[in-house]
Amino acid sequence: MSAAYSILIRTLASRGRLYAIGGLGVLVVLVGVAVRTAEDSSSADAFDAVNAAGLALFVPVTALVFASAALGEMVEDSTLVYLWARPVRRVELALAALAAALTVSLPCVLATMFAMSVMLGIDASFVVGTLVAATASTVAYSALFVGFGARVPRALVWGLVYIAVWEGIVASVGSGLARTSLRLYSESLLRSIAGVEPERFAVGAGVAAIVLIVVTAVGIALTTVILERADVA
Amino acid sequence: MTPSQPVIVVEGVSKWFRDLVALSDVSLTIGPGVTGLLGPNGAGKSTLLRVVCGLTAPSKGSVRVLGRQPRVDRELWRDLGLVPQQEALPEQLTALTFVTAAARLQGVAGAREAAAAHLDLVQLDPGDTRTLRSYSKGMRQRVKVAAALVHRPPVMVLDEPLNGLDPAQRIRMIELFRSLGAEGHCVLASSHILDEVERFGSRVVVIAEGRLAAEGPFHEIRDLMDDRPHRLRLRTDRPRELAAALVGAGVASGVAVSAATRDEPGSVVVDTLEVAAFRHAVAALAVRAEARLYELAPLDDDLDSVFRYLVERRYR
Repeated sequence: MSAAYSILIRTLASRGRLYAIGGLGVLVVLVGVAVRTAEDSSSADAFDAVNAAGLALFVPVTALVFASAALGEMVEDSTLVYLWARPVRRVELALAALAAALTVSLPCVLATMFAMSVMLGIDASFVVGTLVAATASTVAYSALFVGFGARVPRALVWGLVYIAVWEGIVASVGSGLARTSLRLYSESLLRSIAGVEPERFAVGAGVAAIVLIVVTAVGIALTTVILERADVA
Repeated sequence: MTPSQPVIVVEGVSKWFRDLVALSDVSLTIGPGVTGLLGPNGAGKSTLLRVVCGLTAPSKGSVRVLGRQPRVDRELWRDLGLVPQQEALPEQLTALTFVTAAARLQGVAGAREAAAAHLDLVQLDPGDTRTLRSYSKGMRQRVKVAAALVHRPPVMVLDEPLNGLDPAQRIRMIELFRSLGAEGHCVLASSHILDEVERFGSRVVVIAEGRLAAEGPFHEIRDLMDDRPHRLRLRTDRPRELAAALVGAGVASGVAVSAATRDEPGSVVVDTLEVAAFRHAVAALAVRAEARLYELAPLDDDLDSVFRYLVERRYR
């Protein structure tokens, strides 16, 4: 797995992606600054800021950018064959791709979300909750997007549509459909750990953690199947 | 592997992509030694090699390599090395990093040393710190060969391995393939260039229009190509007289005459079954017919015509 990881990580860590995500991260932190400095800001506003700008936007977009490229870029430029045509279990390739994506995306997510939550100045449990929720959802989104990138052409574009429509609009309208979005579970984790009043469709921390773990496992399994059935150029 | 033992067995393989038939009912067996896979561009060579390696499943038929199914048995890759056709390589890596990673994925002990030795074998500097992005097409090709050979597999599938190499590198690479074949490795190498395949080794598989056109020792295939009906065009000032002389001498099986005009000489399009005898006789016959010869040009000497003839002959 380490040899596959070493190839994947170097392919992923391109300057363009890092600059793009770095720029978005700065904007997210500035949102935190703006909320903090607003005259009538409350802890509810701080929670909304982390939820909307962080968990609903920055985390999935960062996961998408790196995870969809982990195998997707190799499919597009026909270099996947150099990993695929080896006596390596496909689940190991899927795990290596996920590990490579997380190696780049998690530091970006954690640094940004830490800066934002500290900037909002609530309390330590809010910072911890933000970091735990961001970590869990980055892993879950990445597990889904690795396979998505390997299977779907122009995965970045379709992934952004999914994030905007499903995780953004559908999850925020407050219907039962919200339960089909990952954002609800990361948000529920944050609420539980930070002690924020739960909203109608929120779930407990245990359920949220289990759902995110299951989604991660399903993502890895799907990527494995995609690799096993792949038509490799 | 014994010399007579089939290493690669392809049985009734067809492959289609929606409406496009890339391979049609191809059956062949390949044993140890070097086998050249010859065919024009778009003939189905790469598709056949991808099916042989399990990179894509056949739409119909079956493939076995060393008795195993390449599409489902990933452990087969311990005994199989592939040089894919595409030029692309992971651009951010150095040649040594890339080949070392390949060796590690293959479970080679002393992966870095093995990688360095194989880069050396293809005459690349293992200490080169430049990334693959800056490598020329020929250098990339050699990196791909090093990565395919690094675990010394008994079976090697090489898709157009000489593309981009200069003449000296081609000779060295062909020598390498031949030495591997002589050691008992099964090397299947494709090319669309007849002379390249001739130098690969004694056995050739010809594929055209997705179908097996011919297989066997190279000299037999070459004879088939030379013995086919040929069509040539003669430009002359006395086309009728020369055509009559050619038919009379029995070196032409058919002729079509175009009369000379004020600006252009006449022409005779000749069909002949014995091109060597025709070429030998034509000058003397022209003298006898008092015809001046301006040009003698083959009309069907391109490889596509040859391959088309072989397919038609096989499926007639």
